[in-house]
Amino acid sequence: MIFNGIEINKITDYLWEIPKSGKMTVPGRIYTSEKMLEKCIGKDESLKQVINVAQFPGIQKYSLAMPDIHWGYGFPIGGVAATDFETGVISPGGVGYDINCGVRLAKTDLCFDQIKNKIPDIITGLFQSIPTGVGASGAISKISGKEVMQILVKGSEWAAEREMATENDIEFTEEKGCLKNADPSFVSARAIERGMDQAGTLGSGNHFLEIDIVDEIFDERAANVMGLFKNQIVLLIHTGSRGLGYQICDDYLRKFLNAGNKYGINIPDKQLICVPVNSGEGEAYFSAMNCAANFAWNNRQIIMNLANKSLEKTLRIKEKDLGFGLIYDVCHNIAKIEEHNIDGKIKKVCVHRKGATRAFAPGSANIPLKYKEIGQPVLIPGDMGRYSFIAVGTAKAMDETFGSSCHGAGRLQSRHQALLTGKGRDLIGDLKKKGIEIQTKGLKTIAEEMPFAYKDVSDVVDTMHNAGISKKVARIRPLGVIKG
Amino acid sequence: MGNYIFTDHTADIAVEIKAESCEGLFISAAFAIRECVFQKYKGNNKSEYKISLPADSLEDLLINFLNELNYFFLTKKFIFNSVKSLSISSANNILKLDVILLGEQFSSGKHKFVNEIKAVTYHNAVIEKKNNLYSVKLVIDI
Repeated sequence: MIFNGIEINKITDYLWEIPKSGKMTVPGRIYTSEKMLEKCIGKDESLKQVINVAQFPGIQKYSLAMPDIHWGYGFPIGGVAATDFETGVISPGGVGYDINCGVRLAKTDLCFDQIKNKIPDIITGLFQSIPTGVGASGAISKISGKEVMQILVKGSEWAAEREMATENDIEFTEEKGCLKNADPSFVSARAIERGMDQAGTLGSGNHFLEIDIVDEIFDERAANVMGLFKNQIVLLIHTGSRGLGYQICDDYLRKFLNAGNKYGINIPDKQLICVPVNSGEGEAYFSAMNCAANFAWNNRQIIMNLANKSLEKTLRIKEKDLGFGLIYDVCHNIAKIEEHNIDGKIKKVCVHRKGATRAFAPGSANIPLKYKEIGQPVLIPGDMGRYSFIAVGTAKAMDETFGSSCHGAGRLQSRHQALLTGKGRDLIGDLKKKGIEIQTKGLKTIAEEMPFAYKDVSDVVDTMHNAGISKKVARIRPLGVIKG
Repeated sequence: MGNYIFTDHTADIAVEIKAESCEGLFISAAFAIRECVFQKYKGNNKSEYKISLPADSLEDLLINFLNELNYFFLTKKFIFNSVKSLSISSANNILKLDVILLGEQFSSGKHKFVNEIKAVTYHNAVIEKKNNLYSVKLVIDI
């Protein structure tokens, strides 16, 4: 079939391939249904971006795209690319500006019936406790540059040292909330300045904090292991490394603008600029990126701690009765050095996940002991009017996608289109009718982030479920949302 | 305040900018970025900020300039009201931008942030000159 002038062939009902041609060194592979391909994926520039990424020096097996793929800048959002550690490249654009943007799911021991009349109070309390919006600041006292550098090295451990994280929180955060090889000397003074008042802030755009109800369980065993049950109240946090991460990405893109000439790397889009992983420049970016990832984990940890205190205060409930605890925290914008089976040989690769979630199989190293038998939890937020999903990684993901799955619904409408669609509608009222409370700094954000602006995340999650890459465990539905 | 139009982009914001001179293109782009962050803005020329940047190409110079402005907006909390001067020079194959901005400090009672720009991207950014008209299309990550 031809979409947007690009030949794409069906491999299975849920996997399609762009054959290798021109300067591509590997084929492109897209996990999607035919319906999604026809309705949205085939219509924008994202397939062309899959082809561009297939030209990365040292790329292994395939330039991959998850079903929530959409048109990004350089890399498609929903893209995965693994490059050879010895001969391949690392690309700041393959991670994006919001380094370690990710999602955190926390549980409570509360059932819906216990709080059903208190949702507006809960949302008001959370909105007052957690700074949201553009340039949000001041969740905790402004910290010095030296303290920011401590966060960059320690990640969530920084919060633990200040009684804002438990051992459980650290255990259930990807990488235990701290990547090694994070040297702040590779981070600019400007990036550190931008981080000084943003620890514990949600930000704006598609970032959010939600109170949800577990409304469907698909896998009882895995749900039990995670501590999930029907009608349970849980909390979902989506944010990243804020201005500090944006600055690090921008700094390194600027530094690498001429690296193509130095290393003889010819790429079709300047935003895909890259350097050898195994070079001084590559190591410097990797270290700075790890610093931003650590800042992001600490950020979500502080927000979770603020939310915990807010819930206890609003509900006048004791810590042991609330039963607040982290189920898992995953990042979806990152480049990681991992070992994967490439054509029968274990190989060290640099896995870029840009709008994609790690989805390691049962038994994998690097996932908490508690989840060893079920696989790593994969958190897939949808839109604020419908639902989000919890899944687990599989052995097939290790074989086919470098242990990766989808990260969200993916936008269907541009922000401008969404504003036009929402014009004249009582959007807050529409959400209230569905039983969803919302508080935000800006009405414009609500219109831009309404459900009609996004694909139905169940189509995305079902595609990965049916493809065998990540298996559905539970579905959660929003009761209240705070946004920037 | 500048000749630019915001256009559709699925995940981000795209803006098309046109001007009769290269310097004019840079000035129009600066106003486009300000509109993206603050939408409507009425301000004054209370204080002055200077920006001086080098780059190897006009596109790099423009994008670096706009990201510098974004840093001023979000971190220094400085909003420019007008561009006092803007010049582009060249020496030893390196381009240099010198800008003096007039504006004021952000005041939460008076001003409102509308969008948080993560960065202006290099994605497909090409400055074209046709019939004495300069143009560029930029993708902004928000």
